[in-house]
Amino acid sequence: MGTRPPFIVSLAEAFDYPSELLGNKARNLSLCMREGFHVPAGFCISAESYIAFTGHNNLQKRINLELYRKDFSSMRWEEIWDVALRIRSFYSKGSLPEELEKEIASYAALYPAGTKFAVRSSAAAEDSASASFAGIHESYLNVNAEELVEKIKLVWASLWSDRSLLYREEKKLDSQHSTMPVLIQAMEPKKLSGLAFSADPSTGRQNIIVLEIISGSLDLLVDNIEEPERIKLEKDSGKILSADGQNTTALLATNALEDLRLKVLSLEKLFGQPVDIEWTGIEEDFTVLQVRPITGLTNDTDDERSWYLTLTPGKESLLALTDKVENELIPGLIEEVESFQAEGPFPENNRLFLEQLEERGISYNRWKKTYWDDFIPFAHGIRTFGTYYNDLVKPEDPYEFIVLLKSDDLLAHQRNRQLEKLGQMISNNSNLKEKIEIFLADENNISTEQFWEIIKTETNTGDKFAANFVKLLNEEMNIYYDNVSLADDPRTLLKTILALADTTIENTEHSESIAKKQELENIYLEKAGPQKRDSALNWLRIGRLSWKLRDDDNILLSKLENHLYLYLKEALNRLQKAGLVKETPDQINLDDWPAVLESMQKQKTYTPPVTKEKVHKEKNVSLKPRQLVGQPSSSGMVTGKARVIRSVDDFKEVVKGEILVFDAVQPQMTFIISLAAGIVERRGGMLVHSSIIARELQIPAVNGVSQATELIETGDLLTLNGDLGLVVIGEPEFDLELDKLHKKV
Amino acid sequence: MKDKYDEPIFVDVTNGNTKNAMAQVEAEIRELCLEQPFAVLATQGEGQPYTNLISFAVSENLGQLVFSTPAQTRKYDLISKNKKVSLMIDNRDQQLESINLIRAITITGTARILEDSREIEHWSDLLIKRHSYLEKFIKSPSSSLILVDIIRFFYVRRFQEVYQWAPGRRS
Repeated sequence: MGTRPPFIVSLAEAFDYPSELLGNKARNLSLCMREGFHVPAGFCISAESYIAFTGHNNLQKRINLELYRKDFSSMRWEEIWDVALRIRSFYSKGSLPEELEKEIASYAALYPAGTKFAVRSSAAAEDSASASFAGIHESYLNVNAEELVEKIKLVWASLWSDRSLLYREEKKLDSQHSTMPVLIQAMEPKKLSGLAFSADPSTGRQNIIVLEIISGSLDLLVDNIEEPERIKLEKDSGKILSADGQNTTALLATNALEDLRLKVLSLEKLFGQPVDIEWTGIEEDFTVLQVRPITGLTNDTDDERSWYLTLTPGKESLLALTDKVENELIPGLIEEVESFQAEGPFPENNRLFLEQLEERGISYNRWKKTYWDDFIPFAHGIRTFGTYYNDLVKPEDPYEFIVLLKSDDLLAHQRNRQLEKLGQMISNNSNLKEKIEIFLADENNISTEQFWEIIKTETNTGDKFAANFVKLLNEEMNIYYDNVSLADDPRTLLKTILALADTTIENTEHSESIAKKQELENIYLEKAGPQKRDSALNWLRIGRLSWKLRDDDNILLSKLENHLYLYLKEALNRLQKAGLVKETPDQINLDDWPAVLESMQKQKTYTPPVTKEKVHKEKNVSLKPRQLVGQPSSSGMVTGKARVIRSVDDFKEVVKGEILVFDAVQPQMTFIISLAAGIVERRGGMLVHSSIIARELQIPAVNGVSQATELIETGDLLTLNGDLGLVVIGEPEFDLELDKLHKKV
Repeated sequence: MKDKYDEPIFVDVTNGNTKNAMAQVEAEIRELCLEQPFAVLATQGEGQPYTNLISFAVSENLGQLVFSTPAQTRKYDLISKNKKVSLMIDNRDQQLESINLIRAITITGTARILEDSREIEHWSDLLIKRHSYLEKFIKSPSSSLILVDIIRFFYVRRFQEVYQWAPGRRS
């Protein structure tokens, strides 16, 4: 075998090898085995195998290219997820060196046919006293021998999962040189399983043993599917200090409990410090599944880790969340928006007005919390579906699954279709078009009311247009965005519709894309086969719902915000009339509603919070970006003038064919994109709104461009490369004409 | 870590990232020019490009770059006939692991052979300070100092991110 370390070591021998090669999990178990504890037989895929696999597929360079594309600290979670998804796809499609694959097969062949295996990470940094990776990396249970290679690759890939990347970044652990040994053991199902801590992890008290016991296999406990019975014992005497759980009768008889206590004590002695044990089976069946030093006693790593674990809600919690969102939250939100809508004009009566203001404020606070607690975690349904799809179908493009999610009934699409209709009415009626153009060009002389009179009386279809327009304005534009209510300013909307008159919005599905969607769905279900069909359909449903919600929640919430905004504006008017506010603030802070309410109730002076002034930075004209890098979110090349969107005021200025530069595109404003020839956005991700719309409109888009709205100016000539994710700014200036300039200095 | 979730609906994203990118870029260009001892010099003659590896130093304001060459060299000859030159400075030798970590500067500028004794003293001091082991070579009567007035920097990082900077434009 020469001098290279072994690819595979049997678990019995693992303790003779360094933890860099096999990881602590494997070594700890090997030690237990050696001391006479029963441990399921197994073998370790060493770090050397990992290195051979990554070398064989040239993965490290590909990973680096993804990972250092931009500064990690300026990546958003979606961009980190994108990086992780691409890397996972490299692993999943990679092949093992032949020698390694043969060796794995020969080890697996040592077990009886039909043996189920557990495939778990045993990363070198894992389960040391300084950092706990419990739950951060993947593990797979009940794996058949023929699926081993596939699962080993996925465990390896979990070294680069988003939660692992974020966790290591936070802990300042080295990603560059991480390796991933994998532990494979035969499954040994027993009737009882559990956790045991030889010190109380919540208080750090070392004279206490904490036990969690469950009937069935341990994963039911680890994945929080079932509540365990919890017992606290005095370490030395075995006296029960507390016991609680679902069962009325204890799972363990007194002598079995005593036996467990003694085993925990001897394991602690073996490791020389308090330990956390995963076990299955009792008494003569007692089997050690994992032992590691307790990390939580000296610092709070477990708390931090648990936050990262929420990044990927498990299957069960996502299913529960789906139900809650679909049947409770979204209908509740719609109902709330509609009931506010139905309330009509502001009550003259101050007391009644304040009641309604408070109602809106409380509603705003409640839904804001729901947004963070439920809507954002639920958005992960898309990615969970994506991962499921990729594992099943193994597509060339890891974003192929998006096609399956597209839907025509997003609120934003419904709104855009109405806009399109109004645009068509204008393009079919040159008289109407002319009148609108005159109105928009001449802001001072015609009032909006006069304008509608003219439209209704002097044009053919004017009254129909006016009615539809006002309906759209009141029902779809009653949204709060960038400190204004979009319904307050009909000119912006009218201008957009006018510009749209000569174009078509392609947000409805083409027959071509419907066919593509159907084709992919068929392939997907075929790959799932009859056995997994139900589960495949369920994930697809969750994916679609999550996709629709991502868009709709923003629109619904901004309608809710709009109601609060209008009430706050009115409240400030009333306060001003009463002389209780010096001057109306130019920005209304929605979060400050309790202070406004209190001022009105107690008739005392309201002092608005100081708003941060936007600093206009002095530009260094001699140093400028020439080519910026982002994520290629919609393919194609285009050259055009930049229009940087910094506020709603910029909407009015948009000319068809410009390249729009956003900080973050939100569903509230996507109608403006119908005019764009391309999109640049600071906020990155393959699943953000701009990516989706750009792909549907088939215009090039690049997102994840750091500081896009600061580095690009309106009027700059931009060339977008939507295939490589590049934004080129300005004409190529290469000539050395600057000789002149240089002499001047 | 919630800042990774900058869903804009409730978070003020525009004020989140105010670090001055351009100042950072300028600092990186400066760092590379001051750290790297060697550059590739491109000259031309009769339509034929020609490159050399040189030891160089830059002025504090990054407006000039100086190197030394014996007068009988091809580059000396080419520069005396055509003053337009280009230089490349990069850190590729330190970043074998990832192409994204490589930083490179392309300089365009005009070169001239120094003849004024005070200028020669000033620039040779700077060059010797940077490359003390070359003192004998630089001070040799057969060597000449070449001063490049830098017109532009083209700075590339993260594989494809490009900035251009004409330091002479600063008033």
